[in-house]
Amino acid sequence: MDIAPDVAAGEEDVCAPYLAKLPITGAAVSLFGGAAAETMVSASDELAARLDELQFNLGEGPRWRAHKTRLPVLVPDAQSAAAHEWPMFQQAIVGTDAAALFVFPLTVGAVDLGVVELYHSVPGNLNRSDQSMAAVLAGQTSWYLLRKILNVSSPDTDPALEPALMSRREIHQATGMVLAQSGATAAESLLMLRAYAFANDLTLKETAAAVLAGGLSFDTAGSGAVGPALQ
Amino acid sequence: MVTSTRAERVSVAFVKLTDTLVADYDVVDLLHILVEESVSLLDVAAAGLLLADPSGELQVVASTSEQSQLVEVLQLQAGAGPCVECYLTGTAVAVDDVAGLTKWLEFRDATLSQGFRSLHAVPMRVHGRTIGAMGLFGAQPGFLTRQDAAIGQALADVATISLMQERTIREAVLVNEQLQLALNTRVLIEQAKGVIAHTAGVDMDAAFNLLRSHARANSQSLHATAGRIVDRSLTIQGRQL
Repeated sequence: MDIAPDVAAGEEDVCAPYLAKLPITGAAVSLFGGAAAETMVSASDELAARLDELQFNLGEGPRWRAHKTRLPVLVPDAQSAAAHEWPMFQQAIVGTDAAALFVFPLTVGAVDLGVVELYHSVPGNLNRSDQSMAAVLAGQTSWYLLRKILNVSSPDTDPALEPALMSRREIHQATGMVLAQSGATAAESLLMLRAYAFANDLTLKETAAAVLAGGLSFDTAGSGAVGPALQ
Repeated sequence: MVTSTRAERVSVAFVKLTDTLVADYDVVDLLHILVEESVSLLDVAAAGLLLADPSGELQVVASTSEQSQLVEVLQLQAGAGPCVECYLTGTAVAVDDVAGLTKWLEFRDATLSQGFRSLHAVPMRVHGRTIGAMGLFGAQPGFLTRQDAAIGQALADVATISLMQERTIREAVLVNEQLQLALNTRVLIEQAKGVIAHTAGVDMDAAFNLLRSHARANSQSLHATAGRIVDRSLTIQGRQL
C-alpha cells in the first residue's frame, strides 16, 4: 500500500514553485505511504533530502508536529539549542545550512497526504505574505498529488472522458464509509480502496461505487473476517 | 397570510448573505445559502455553484440538491458547457432552450434528462478575476428576465465578496487561499457524508441534511462539524422516530 512509487514516476518538479516564490534554500516533498512507510517524492538538494530522512529515522522533528497538528510548523532559528522539542534532531543538524525550517502539511479534506519541508540557510521567519504563499503552494501540491493518486489507479480510463470530481465525489464519500467501517484514518481508507481496486483489477471509481452501494464492506469488526468482503 | 414584496425578499436574501460577514461563517454554508436564495427568488428550478481548483478545473462546491443527478449535470459542465464558458470568459452565458443546443451535446442530454430546459450561468468575480460560476437551471425554455438576471448576478457578487472578506483581498495568493479552503471543505463534507451514511444507515442526501442540521443546531460551521465526524469525535445518529 505504498502510494509513492507510482506517483513519483514521471513526476513534474514539485519543489520548483517553492524555490521560485519563497525566500528559501531547499525543499522536499514527502508523501505518507500508508502505515509507517514513507517515501520522498522529491527533494531539491541533498540537505533537503537528508533533513527529511533524519527526522524520519529519529522519529522526531518539526515534520512530525506538522503531521500531528495538521498545521504549519515554523522554526526561524533551527540552529539554536532552544529547540527542546526535538533534541536529537537539533543535535544532528548543528553546523549544517539548515538555519531555518518551515514545514507545511499536505492535506485534502481529512486525508493527510504528506508534508513539504523547506529550509533556509539564513535564520529568520517567513513573513505573513510568504506564509500565505507557502500555504497556497502546499494546497496546490496536495491537489496535484491527490489527482495523481486517484488517476494512477485507473490507467484504463481516458481522463479526458471522465468528468473529474463527478467520480471523485463518490470516492470521497466511499473514503468516509470505509473509515467508519474499518476505524482507519481517511488516508488509510483511501489507500485501502486503492489497493482493493488494484488487486481486483477494478478502477477506483468502480470500487467506490461498490462501497456506496453496500456491496463491498471494509468492516473489520465482523466475525473474524479478514480484509474487505464482497457481499 | 403574510405576504412580502419581491423587494423585501431580495433585501432579506442580501442580509442573510452579508450576515456571514460577521458570523462564524463557513464558506460552503455561505455558498449553499447563495444557491438556495437564488432558487427561492428567481424563476429557476435548481442551482449549483462551481469553483476553480488549483489546476483550473471547475469543481461543484454547492447545489440546491445533493442528489447525485444534479451534481453530475453540474460537473459534466466542468468539461464543456455553459458554466465553464462563463468561467473562462467572465461573462454570463444564457441558454434559453437546452433542447436546441448543437454543441455541448453531453451536457444537453444530461440536463434534459433531469427535466431542465434552460440555463443561465453567472460568473463569480473578484478583483477582475473569475473564480467560478453559478448555474441557474429553469424548468421551462426561455431567458431569465433582465431583473432576474441582475438579481442573480448581484447575489453572486455579494457572496463572492463575503467569501473573500476575511482580509482585504489584494493579493492573488489570498484569493487562492480562500478558494482552497472552500474546495477542502467540500471534500471534508463528502467524507463526513460517507461516515454518516454508514453510521446512521441513510443515503447521501439525508447524510448531508443530518450534517447541516447538527451544525446549525449547535451553531458550528459545516467544516468544523464535518471534521469532528471524520475524526470520529462526533457521531451523528439517524433521526429518532
